[in-house]
Amino acid sequence: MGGSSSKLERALVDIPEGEHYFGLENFGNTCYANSVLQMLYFCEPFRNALLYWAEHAPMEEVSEDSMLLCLAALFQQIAYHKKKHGVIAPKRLIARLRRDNELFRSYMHQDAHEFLNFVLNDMAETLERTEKDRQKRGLPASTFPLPPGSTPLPHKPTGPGSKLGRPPATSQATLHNSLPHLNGESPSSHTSPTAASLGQNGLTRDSASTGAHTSRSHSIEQPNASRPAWSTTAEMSADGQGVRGAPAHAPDRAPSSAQPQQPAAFQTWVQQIFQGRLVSETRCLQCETVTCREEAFFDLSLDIEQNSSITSCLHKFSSTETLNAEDKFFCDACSGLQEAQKRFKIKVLPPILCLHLKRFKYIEQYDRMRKLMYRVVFPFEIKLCNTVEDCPDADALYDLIGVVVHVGSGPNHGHYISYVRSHNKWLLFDDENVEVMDEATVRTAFGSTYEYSSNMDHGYILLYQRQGLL
Amino acid sequence: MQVFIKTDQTHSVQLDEGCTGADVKQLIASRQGIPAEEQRLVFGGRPVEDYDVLTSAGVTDDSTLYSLLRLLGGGKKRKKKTYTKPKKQKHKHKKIKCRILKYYKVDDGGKVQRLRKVCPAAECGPGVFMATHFNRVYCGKCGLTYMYDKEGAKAAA
Repeated sequence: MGGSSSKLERALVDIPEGEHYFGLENFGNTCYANSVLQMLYFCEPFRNALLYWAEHAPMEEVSEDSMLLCLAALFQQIAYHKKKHGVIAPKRLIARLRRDNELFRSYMHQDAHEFLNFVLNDMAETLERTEKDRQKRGLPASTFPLPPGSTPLPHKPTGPGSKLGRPPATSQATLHNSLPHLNGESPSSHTSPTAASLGQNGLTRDSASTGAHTSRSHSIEQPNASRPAWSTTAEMSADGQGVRGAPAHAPDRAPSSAQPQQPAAFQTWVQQIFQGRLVSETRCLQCETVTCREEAFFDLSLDIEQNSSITSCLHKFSSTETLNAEDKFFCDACSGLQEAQKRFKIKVLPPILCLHLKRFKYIEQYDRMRKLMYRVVFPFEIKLCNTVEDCPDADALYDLIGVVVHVGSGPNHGHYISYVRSHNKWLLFDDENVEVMDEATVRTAFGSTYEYSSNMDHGYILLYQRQGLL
Repeated sequence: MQVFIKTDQTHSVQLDEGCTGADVKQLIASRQGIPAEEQRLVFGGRPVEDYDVLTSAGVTDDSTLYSLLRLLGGGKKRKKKTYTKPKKQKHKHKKIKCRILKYYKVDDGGKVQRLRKVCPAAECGPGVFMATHFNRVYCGKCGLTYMYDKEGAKAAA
């Protein structure tokens, strides 16, 4: 261990002060959680927003213990640790997880995507509940989402967290490419989550940022222009809402323009970071009526094929599928079961795009599950090919920032590790071990074109970050 | 209501208002054979539990549910333990022909003579012989040892 940590130390010399790399202990088959937690920690918009929330949220309103609090405490423990690297035991979080979710209570192996999805939703729900409580008590809207003009992260002048405001829909004109980092935190300048309750309500937030964090208060005067146009997301309600499209013409045209405007629903910062929207279009082959339905997503689960790429999987995800035989579509316009064509397109791109590869298949013949070891190339930079035509940022480029890798030959057991990008370096997190890795090594997780390969590492969850966020 | 369920293909199904997540899984099981307990459902980015009523989870007409499977993991890859000491040698049985003849002698009258001393300890008693070494007798059962004196007389050690 000593040898590897000094190697890590040497490799980390040019990493900015304040960036910490901590392995996470495995408490009996919890690496599905560890790998996802590491990926989330090094997803800077998420980390920054959570740390900011932990310091500024009015804690007396978040009385109940929750995954959100546990995760915030864990992130603070890592971020404000006096050492640069080491091992942390996420005891409290795992204990909370086991209390909250029956599925994860056992000491069995679990699915990392299921865990990620649970954590994000649980956090969003807690935030929503807190917000509702506020409204019930007639308090002003909480500091989250933040009003435009303030930067959520006290630690940095411009940050990905700036999207938490709801600015006017300016374009992504000014992009700040400077890599943000926590500027030389000393542990004393920080408050624990409970102590952070100095932000008593929405009003004291400013005093908190000017008082306790004077050194960083310059962040508040950041111009709005640095923020991409997020405001579109704010107009959608959480559960999507459908509209019966006008019949007949141009089924290819996205009928989203017909979407009635919804009053801005409350969106938590979790949703602002990860949530995108899909539109599903169904075209009745009898009367050509197009039915549209919009739905939110936290990630896209992609079917995969042998020797393919993310782009081709996305293509397949959005390809037109014919509904026939026992899956015929009931068309309201012609009041009957008809053959129909259906496809999905992305309408709103999230700042952080999470892709989930369906590396599993049920083989009916043998009545068992199989892990698909297919080679699926995930490039370091992608552009989404399957957006609706009037999507405002269809040309957005995304950078790969994290990969959760499943190691193992079958779907019923295995090991999870994660690769994350941090300050233009790639690191491997394998429970308590942290290693610097070659960028080229990331490619070993693509999979294999051979049926039986000795390489068992396969990318399972991919995290892409929109360029220009930082 | 009509709901789409996406596995590796899209199913279009008619469901009652009170339908639960478990019902949907059952339906997929009947269509594609995938056992219900292996499936997990996601709608609008949220997991749908077995007990969730679809309509209260926000599912409406023409909604799409995603039916996913799992890729389980969690185990630690065991590190190979490195041992500092060499492995203990196991006892090897040495075959001696007619070993029993060392312990008993039958005299001319047909009487059996025991050639080894019987251990006097209470837990052993008759039936447990003591081993004869060059300078002592030793009971393998209780560890009692008698040293021979130089003269050959026995004395407790």
